[in-house]
Amino acid sequence: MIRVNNVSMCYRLVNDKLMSLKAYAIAAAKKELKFKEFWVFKDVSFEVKKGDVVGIIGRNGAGKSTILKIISGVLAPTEGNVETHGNVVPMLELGSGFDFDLSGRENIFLNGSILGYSEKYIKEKYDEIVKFSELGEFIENPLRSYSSGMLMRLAFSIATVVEPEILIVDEILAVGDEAFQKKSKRKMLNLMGGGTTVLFVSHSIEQIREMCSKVVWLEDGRLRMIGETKKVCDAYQEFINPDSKSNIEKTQFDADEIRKHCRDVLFVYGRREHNYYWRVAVEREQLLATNILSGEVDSENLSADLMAQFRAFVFVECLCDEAVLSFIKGIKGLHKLVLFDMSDAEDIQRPLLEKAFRYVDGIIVPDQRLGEMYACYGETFCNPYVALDRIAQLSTWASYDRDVLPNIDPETIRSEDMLINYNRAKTAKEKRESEGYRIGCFHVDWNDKKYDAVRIKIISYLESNDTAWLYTVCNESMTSKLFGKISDRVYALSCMEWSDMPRTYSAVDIVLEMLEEGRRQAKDYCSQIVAGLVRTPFCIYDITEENYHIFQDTEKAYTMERARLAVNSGASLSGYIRKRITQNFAIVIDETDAEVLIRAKELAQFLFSKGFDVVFINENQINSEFPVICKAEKYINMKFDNAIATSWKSYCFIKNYTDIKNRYYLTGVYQTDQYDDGDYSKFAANQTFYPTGDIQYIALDEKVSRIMSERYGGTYMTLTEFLCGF
Amino acid sequence: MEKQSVLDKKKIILCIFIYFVVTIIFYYAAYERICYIEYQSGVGGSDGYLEELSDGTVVTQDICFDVDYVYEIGISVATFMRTNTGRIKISLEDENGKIIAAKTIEAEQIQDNSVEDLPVKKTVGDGIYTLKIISEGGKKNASITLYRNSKVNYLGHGYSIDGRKYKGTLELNLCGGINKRLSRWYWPAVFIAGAIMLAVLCWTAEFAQGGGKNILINFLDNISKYWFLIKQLVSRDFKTKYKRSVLGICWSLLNPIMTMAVQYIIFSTIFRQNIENFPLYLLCGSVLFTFFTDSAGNGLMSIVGNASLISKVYVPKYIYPVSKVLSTAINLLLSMIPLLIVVFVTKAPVTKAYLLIPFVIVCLIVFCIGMSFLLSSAMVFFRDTQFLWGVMTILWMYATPLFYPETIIPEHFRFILDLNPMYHYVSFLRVIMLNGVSPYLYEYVYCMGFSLIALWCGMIVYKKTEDKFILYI
Repeated sequence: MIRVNNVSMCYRLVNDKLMSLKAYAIAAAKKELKFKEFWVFKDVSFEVKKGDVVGIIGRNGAGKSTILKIISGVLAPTEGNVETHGNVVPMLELGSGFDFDLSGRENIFLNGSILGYSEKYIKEKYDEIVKFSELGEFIENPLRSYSSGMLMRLAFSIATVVEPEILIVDEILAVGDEAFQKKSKRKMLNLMGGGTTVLFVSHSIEQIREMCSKVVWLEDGRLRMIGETKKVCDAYQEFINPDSKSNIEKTQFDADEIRKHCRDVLFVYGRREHNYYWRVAVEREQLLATNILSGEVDSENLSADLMAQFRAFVFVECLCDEAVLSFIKGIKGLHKLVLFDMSDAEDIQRPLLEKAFRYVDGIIVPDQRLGEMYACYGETFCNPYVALDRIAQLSTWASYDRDVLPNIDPETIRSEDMLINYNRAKTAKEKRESEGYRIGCFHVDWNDKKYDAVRIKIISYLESNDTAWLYTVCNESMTSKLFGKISDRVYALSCMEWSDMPRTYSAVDIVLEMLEEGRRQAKDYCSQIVAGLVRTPFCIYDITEENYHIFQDTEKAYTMERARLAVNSGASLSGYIRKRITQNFAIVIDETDAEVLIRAKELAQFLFSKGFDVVFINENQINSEFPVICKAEKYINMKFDNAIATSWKSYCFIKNYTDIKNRYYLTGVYQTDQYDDGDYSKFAANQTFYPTGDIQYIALDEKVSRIMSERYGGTYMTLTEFLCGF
Repeated sequence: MEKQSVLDKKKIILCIFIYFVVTIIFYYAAYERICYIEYQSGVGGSDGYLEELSDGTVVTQDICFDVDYVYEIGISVATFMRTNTGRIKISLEDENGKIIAAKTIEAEQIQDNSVEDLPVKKTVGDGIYTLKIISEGGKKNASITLYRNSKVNYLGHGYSIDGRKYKGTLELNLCGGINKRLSRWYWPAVFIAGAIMLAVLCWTAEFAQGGGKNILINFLDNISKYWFLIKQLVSRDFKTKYKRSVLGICWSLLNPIMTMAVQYIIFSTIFRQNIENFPLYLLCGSVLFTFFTDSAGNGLMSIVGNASLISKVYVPKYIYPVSKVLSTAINLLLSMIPLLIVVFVTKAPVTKAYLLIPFVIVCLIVFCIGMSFLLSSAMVFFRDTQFLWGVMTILWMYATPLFYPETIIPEHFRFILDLNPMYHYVSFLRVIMLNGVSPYLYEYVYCMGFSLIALWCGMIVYKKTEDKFILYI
């Protein structure tokens, strides 16, 4: 049926792209026309019998698509020949030759004639095509009014209406919505089962296993294996997997490594001992809740290398000295975000602001009045946590586990409630200062693994607070085992004793009360402010079997809600920063290796969590595997800041978008041996064939980076390095 | 599935039928050219003129034709550089005094030193014919006169004025044809060729039945296989060309008319040319040349522009240039409508020669297909081709007498015209439309020759390069 005889495919590459007559003539005259031969594969022979369903597997660049093209007659092989008997219907790409100005009906005839159907045949099958595509009346509309799903449905319906003797398929198994995907898959299976000889390329090894009766494995420019599906697929997966498995385990992007290099917000303190410390600490904690990492530095320790490490800078109580000023100017040169934290008109850093105002993006102020006042310097952002009329309430909660009292003049507190709160906080603080912290944990069976999380929390807390100690119901002999080196600060109480403890320390109801209050406020304020400050005073636990879940659930739920509200309303600092630093990313997947695909997915999740808008683009089909996937045409007009290609084909797609500021190419080891499938021209076996200048290469890991630069020269940053830039 | 023969009885009969229809039409429309060799003779220079031909003067000149067919007789007239009155009646009589051609010319319209033609278009015998020129209503000192040569006795006869004989001859130019006896061989040749064709077709049909292959079978096979595709591609190109424009297909009609109008205004006022029926002259040239530039331009991009298709589906690559040229040809056919309108408006004679127009169009289409093959394959390898071709087109346009008379080209540069295929196509059409006669037979050879050479070159280049296209587009 199909006989492939010693087929070799060689691309002759001129050293440089000589696409103009002049360049060619000059090169020819100088006899500098060097050709470099690149053999995609050599001496491939196999035979396909009638009715076989043959899958072709191999890494990207192994020549899978090339061999399909040779068999379908699109490409002429350099050596050898292919014999085919019977009519070949190539489904290398759906909808070849669609004309967007013509109607669906006209396109059925056009596309059909391109696929080699006769006029009579199309007329006969016309109704069937329209019915299968579910287009109904739309068939008379011009194609440009179609949605991408409709287009694909139409294309699929035309392509599969024939019962060809030889069907050549390059990854087009499922298009359209879920229902249509099912339908189209069934249709494909019908075709394959109906005695048609099928040649089939897929990156999904599962699909190959499911459908093929025979598999051809191309690797390193030759036919590596041919035979029964199971045997070849097993061998292939074994060949692929050891490598990829270890890589995946190694990644998670070396999160610690990234954290070291890349944080979001740097707080610069002029006078740390000052009252702002509390307020900034709140801001920082809140940033943390929404996954934004922050760092802090005193203004005298500012150094230029900090500029590149952070994306936003908040200046707190900084004096106007030259070092700080030039630092701010330097930041602006890098297009990062500069924020000032201002309290009132007499603020100490006002002279600095006045000098630096041209470089300022935003100003954090405690209330609207100040917001108006500082509006002339930049966008003002009112941080509700430091708004005067909320301070007293907030301070109450803050006082439980922070040794800070809101730095506020009691004279300025207007309402009586607040004064009471303030005084309560003050009293609590003084008392605590005299006694040190106490933590109460009662009714806890420490042997139960369930409470490990609580214990770890307490231990870490005690380690960081020298003056705190723990009261708990515990077997004294167990304490050293359970609490290690801080066991000397653990006081084992008997059941009798704990009942005498002051009410404050057995305060599960306080925890609940506070959580409730916090939630209520969060709801009240979510439109303008987020009262997300309520933090679980975890030093006070009264944990029993029955209220353990309350602790777990409320804490978890509350953290979530706090983060959500903060970000959504944009009222929090994190929301503000996130809004300002958001860029969008397009990750294009098409003919992408499975391994790269997994990384791309992780990469997307990571970027998304860092506040970037991420969209997956797949030129041909919609893949439900991914959270945000859209068909390419919909994004023609969208402006991307960054685009990441994951295969040569997808690179060819993004290079058409002139608006993209940064182009990246995420590459695995074998990614380079590809030819341009979008434009079908530039065979990219060599670094010189990559357009230089406007694309940066990202290697999956150090190994890939090393191999690539050895083979092709040039620099390839690793994925971790790439992420450190964000 | 039974394989349908590409060549059955019906098709063979159709072929033969078409062949005979074409030969009959050709014989009918180009009769003069087939039967006569063009022959021009004349007195060749005058040495004086007659006295003023005032009212009632009759000048006669006996002529003994040395040709078998007279197309027209030219008489040199002079006006004394003034506006004259009256009119002259020119007539040609045979031995028996029967008038076989006559024409009346108003003296006012006659320009000094011009040649007035008396169209005859008749077969003539060996006898003596008389050319009679009668002046009517010419006032004294306001009448025209004729040139004469007193030394030559043209064809052995003198002229006479009002019955008085003089030595010498009126200055005459004779345009006619000598019977070349080709007509005698035309039909036998047609039949023999037809018989050979029939034999070849029958043999091929038999051969194809047995599963054999030869060029003809391959060709027919390809046509029958891809005709539908070509049709679809052509209709796609044509449909999308004016899609979303308000006037749509009307542009195909308006475009040539408007171009002609602009050129007419420019060249009939600013660069004045003395060309008879200038609008038609212009339009003949511009319609054909526009088709040439359009189809070559479209053909040029046909491979590069269809890159996505070529690399995904196997279709013989010649389909793309051919379909582009054919879709442009539809436009050409549409622009024949304004051409005909101009013919009617300018009252140009519509003669049987119009039947020959399809010949030049087919030749031009074949020529354009050949050019498209060349250009499109060149374009794949060198993208500079498109820009180079842009310049070439302009150069070519000026090298072709589209809006200037071909006579302004000096004789020693004449070879430029002879080597310019477009000149031959344009002048072919002009001879038909302006003169109402068939062009000379060698013009047919020229037109066909250029087309076939272009097609042949194009096909060879294409064949050699088409496998590499996919690597470069």
